Amino acid sequence: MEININQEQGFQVLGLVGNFDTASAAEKEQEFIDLVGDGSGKFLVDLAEVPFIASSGLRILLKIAQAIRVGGGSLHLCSLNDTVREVFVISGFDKILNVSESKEQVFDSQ
Amino acid sequence: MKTPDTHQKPVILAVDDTPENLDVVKGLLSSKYIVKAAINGPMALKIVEKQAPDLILLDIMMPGMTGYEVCEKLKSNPDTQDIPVIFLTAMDQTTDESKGFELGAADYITKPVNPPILDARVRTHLALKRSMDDLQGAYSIIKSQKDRMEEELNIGRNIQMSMVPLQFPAFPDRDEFELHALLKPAREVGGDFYDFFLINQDELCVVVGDVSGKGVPAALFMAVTRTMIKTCAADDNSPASIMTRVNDTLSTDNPECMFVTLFLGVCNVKSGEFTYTNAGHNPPYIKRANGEIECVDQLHGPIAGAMGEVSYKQDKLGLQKGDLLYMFTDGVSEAMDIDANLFGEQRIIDYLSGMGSNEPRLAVGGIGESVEKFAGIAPQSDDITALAMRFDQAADQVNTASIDLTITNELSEVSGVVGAFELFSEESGIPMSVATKFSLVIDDLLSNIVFYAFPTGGEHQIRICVEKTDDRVLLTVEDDGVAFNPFSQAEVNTDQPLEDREIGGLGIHLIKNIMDEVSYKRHRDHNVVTLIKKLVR
Repeated sequence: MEININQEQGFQVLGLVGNFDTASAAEKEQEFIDLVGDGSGKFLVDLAEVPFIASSGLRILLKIAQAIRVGGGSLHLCSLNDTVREVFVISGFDKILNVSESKEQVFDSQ
Repeated sequence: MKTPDTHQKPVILAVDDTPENLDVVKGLLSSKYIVKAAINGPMALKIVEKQAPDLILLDIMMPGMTGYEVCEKLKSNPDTQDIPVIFLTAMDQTTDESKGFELGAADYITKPVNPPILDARVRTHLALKRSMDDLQGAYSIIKSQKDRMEEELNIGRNIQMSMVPLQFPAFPDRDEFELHALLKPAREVGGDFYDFFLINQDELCVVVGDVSGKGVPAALFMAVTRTMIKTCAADDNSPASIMTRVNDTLSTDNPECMFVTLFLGVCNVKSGEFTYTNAGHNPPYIKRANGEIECVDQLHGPIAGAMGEVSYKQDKLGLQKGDLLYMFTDGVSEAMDIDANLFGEQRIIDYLSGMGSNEPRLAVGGIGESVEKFAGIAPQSDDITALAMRFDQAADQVNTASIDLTITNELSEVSGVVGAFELFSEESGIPMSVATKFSLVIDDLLSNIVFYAFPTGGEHQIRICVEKTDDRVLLTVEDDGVAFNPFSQAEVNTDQPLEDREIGGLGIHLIKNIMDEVSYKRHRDHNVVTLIKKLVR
């Protein structure tokens, strides 16, 4: 999995490309932690190009969400495909994270 | 009525209306016997009823009731008919004598009494009576033993017949196959059985067996064998492995050295693939849809139960639509006619060849009747058992695709499996939505195994099989790591707020909820996880 980083509309947009599987989670964990830093920024994780997310991927998302919450920043996620959406529902992540249909929807709500 | 005590002196009843005559008899016999006396018929009968004497000396001419009448009464009562009666009378006409014998008298002595003759005849008849009693005793012992043995054989037969499925059609809702069976128990030797059951939706297990011995021990051995096969088959669809386990268990605690010949097959009723193991049983026959007859003559190990630690092998054959498999015991092929000729395998082959249709009911019933006709009046010496199955599914209606991969316990191997699976799902037409779910599940499950199943390290193998049919995708993952049932873990609380959520423990929760069926078993020191996702047609 790759992480493409862009600045858009005041958000640090993390565009993920590829399966957010166990190997990717292990490989990218530190990069995510570094990107979030003190957790004070505004982050948008774009999952449009992620076919599936494994439990280790969820673990990383949870970790950064907790760090951002402590740091006073904000975290949005958008563009989940059906599989990822189902995983979010099953794991209860849809209730604890800000999930939007699209990037535009996130920007419009600001 | 009491029977005389054999340890005491024999009891003789003398019946005469003349007291002087009674005194003479008493004088002659009372030193060796207990002599009772009666002065008329009714009194004699009363004494007999109270306690049967060993012998009766009976006068004929008596007022009221004659000696003939007394004798007739005694002989018509089963309780007294065996008491020897000697007529002792002054009448000496031959006609009187023969009338006495007609009535069942043991002897006939005319008065005046000659003491040595009376003594000799009484002794002879008492000795005869004693021998008769001994014989009678021996006979009743033999009879009760025989009854017990027959009873035991009956119980054995009842157990036997209560264990085999007798309802046909056995699977009215299944159109992929048709089967029929017969068990005709023999009077003496027995121990045959057959069985059939679905292991799962797609796999039918068929068994024919012949236990050594007869009666209750054979029936119980059969019951144990049958139950064990069923239990093993519940989590194991390999006939070789089922047979190996059944044999190990049967042979460990088998002081009677009983054994069973077994033919055990598992038929995939969708594809017609038939896997079988033959443990010393006579080979079945296949009649193909085109009429050709084949003998399924591969053997895979010794009779089951005789010795442990045998690894049975198995073979596969393909059944096509309309093929008939005929399994039987040697009671069919070795049925004998009155001249001890054998029914033989050729007659089975001929019958199968001559059948117009491959109806299981016809094969089983027809060959059964042929055997009966052949045997004629010769008694059936062994159980006659047959089980026939016809495969009815056209192979082209089934689309099964599968991949089978083995990796080592390295995390880097996992993405390779996901990649191979994605390629497979594209080729086999698994819908994208289902495929990504499987990819996620494979990733989670395999990572979990790599991380936790091998705490002592070292290189291990993990086997992954995926099978796709028209209506489902099935994933099986097997490893030789520490026993661990992932599905027995406590549920994750998914309702907690962000700050309280535990990081981790979600993988199994995801798998359980994404898949339609999940199962775990520990099998031969391996963890086997099976996952199924149904496909909407």
